[in-house]
Amino acid sequence: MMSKTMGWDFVNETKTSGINQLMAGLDLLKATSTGNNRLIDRSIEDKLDGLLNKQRLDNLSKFETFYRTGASLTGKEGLFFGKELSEQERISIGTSAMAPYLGQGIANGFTNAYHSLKEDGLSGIDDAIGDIGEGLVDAGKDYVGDLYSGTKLIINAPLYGINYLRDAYELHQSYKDYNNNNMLPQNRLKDMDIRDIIRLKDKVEKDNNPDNDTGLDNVRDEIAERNTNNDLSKNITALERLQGLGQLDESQEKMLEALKGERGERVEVAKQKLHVTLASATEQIPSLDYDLAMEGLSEMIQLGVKVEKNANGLELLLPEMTTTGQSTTKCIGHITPAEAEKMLDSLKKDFFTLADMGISLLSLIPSPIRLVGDGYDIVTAIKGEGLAGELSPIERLAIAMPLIGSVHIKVIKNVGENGRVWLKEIGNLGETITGKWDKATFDKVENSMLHHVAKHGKGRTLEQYTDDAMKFFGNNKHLGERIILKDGTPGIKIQTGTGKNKIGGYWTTEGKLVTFWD
Amino acid sequence: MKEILRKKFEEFRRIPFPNRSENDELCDILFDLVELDGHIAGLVSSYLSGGIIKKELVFIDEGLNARLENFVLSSEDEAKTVEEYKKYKAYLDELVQILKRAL
Repeated sequence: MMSKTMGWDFVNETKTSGINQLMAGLDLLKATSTGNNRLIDRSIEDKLDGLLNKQRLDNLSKFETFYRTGASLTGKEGLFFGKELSEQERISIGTSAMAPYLGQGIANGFTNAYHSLKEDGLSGIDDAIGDIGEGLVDAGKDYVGDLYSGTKLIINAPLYGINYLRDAYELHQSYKDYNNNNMLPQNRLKDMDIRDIIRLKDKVEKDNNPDNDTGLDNVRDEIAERNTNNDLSKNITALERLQGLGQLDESQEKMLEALKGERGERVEVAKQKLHVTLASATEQIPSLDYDLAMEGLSEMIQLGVKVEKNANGLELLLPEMTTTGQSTTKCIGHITPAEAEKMLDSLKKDFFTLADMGISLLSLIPSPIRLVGDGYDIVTAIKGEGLAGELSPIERLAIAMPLIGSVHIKVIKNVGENGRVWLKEIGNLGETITGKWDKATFDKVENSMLHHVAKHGKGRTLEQYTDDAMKFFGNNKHLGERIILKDGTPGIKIQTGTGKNKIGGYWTTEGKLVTFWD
Repeated sequence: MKEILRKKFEEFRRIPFPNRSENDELCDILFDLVELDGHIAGLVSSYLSGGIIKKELVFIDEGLNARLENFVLSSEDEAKTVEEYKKYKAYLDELVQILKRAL
C-alpha cells in the first residue's frame, strides 16, 4: 500500500515527467535540425514552438482539473492514488469538482421538466420528474466520462513523452538511412550524431520500465480492462516480457491469452477492412473504400503490426514472443505495389484537397512534432516529386507509413467524421446537399447520408442520389402520407407504383430527406 | 460490448439491402424495412461515436417480424425472398439486442 504522500508524489512526477519528455522530444528534433542539417523549416519550427507552448499550458490546466476531479471518484471507488486520501479530503475535492456537473444536470433537467409541464399541465408531472432524474444521470455520465479521460491522460503522459522521443530517434535513423543510400540531399544529414538521442531514449525507457515501477500496477490493471488498441499491444508486450522472465502468474497467463485472442480478432477485422475494400474498390464512392482501407491499416499499425518492405511489396508482420522470450514476427498479409499506388493516390487526393482548401493539418493533429518531422518527406513521397519520384510506390508508401499509423487515423477521424464527406463528396457543392437531409437518429447528417447512399444508392454519387430523391419528393409530395417516424417525430411517407416498380421514401415535415428507395 | 457492437455494425454495413419482390405486399414490408434500417443504423452509429441514445428508441419491431411470419407464400421465389428479408431483419434485431445490452 502506498503512503498518502507517495500517491500525490506519483501524480506530480507523472505530470512533470510527461511534459518534460514532450519538451525533450522537441529539443531533440531541433538539435538535429541546425545549420546545414535543418530538417524543419524555421517558420514551421516557430509555429511548432507556439503550438507546443499552448499545448503545454492546456495540458497543465487539464492536469490540474483532472487531478481534482479524478481523485474524488477514484477515491470513492478505492482506485489509484485516491485511495490514500481521507474521506474528508475526498468529500471536499469531490464536492467542488462535481458541483458544475450537477448544476448543469439540474438546469437541463428542470428546463425539460418545465416544457413537459407546460405542454401537458399536471398530467406531465411524471415526465417532469423523469426529466430531472435524466438530467442528473446525464450529469453523472459526463462526470465519469471526464474522470476517465483525465485519468487516462495522467497515466499516458509519460508514454506520450516516450513516443515523441522514439519518433525523433526513428526519424533521425530514417534520414541517416536515406543519406547512406544517396536518396536525399546529403547536406541535410551529414555529421549527425545520434549517440545523444540513443542515450536519452535508453534513459527514458529505463525510467519508465514497468519492471522498475511499483506505483503503476493498479493503473496497468485498469488499462488492461479498458484498453485502447494501442494499450492492448503494450499490455501484451509487457505481459510477454514477464513471461520471458518466467514471472507470469496463472491469472496473468490467462489475461495474456485473452488479450492476444482479442488482438487476433481485431487484426483480422482490420485486415478485412484493408484488403476487402482495396480489392473491391469502386469508383462511385471512393471515400468509403478509402476510409475503410486506411482505417484497417491504421488499426493494424496501432495493434502493433509492423510494416516492412520486401521485393514484392509491403509485408504486414504481427509481433510474437517465443516460449524462450525471443521476439519474432508472423507475416499476416501483404500490400502489393498496385494497392500501394491506389493508397498513395487516395492519400494525395485527400491531403491536397485539405491543403487547397486552406485547412491546416497542424490544427487537426495533436502531435505537431510528428507531423513536422515526418511531414517533410511524407509529402514529397505522397506526391512522388523530386527524388521521391524515382522511388517505387512501395517505397513511397513505406515512407508515408508512420503518418498513416499514428497521425493519419486522427486526421481521418477528425476530418473524416466531421468533414471528409463534406470535403470529398460535398466539397464542390457547398452545403447544398447537407441542407436537404435530416440526420434522424444519426449523430451527424453526413453519417446519415453516407449510410443511405451506400445501402440504396445503387452506384450513384451522393449528389445524384439526393437529386433523384428530391425530384421525386417535388413531383409526388401531394401523395404524401403524414406519419410518425421511428424516432417519434412527425414525417411524410411517399410511395408510388407497385411490386418491383414501387418507389418511395421518408421525409420530415420540413421536406428534409430521411431516406429514399427506388 | 461496444467492441462487439462495432464489429457487428461493420459486418452489417457491408450487407446489401434486399431486392424488391414482384409481390406488392412484400414490397410494402420491404419499404418499412427501409425506414427501420436507417433508424437502427443511426442509433448504433451515434452510440459508437459516443452520442447519448434515447433508450425508448431502441426496440425490436415485432410487427414487421409478424408480417413476415404470417405472409402466405404462393411460390418458391416468394419463399426465398421472405427468407432473405427475415435474415436482414434478424441482423437488425441482433444489433438492437447488443445495443440494448450496451446501454
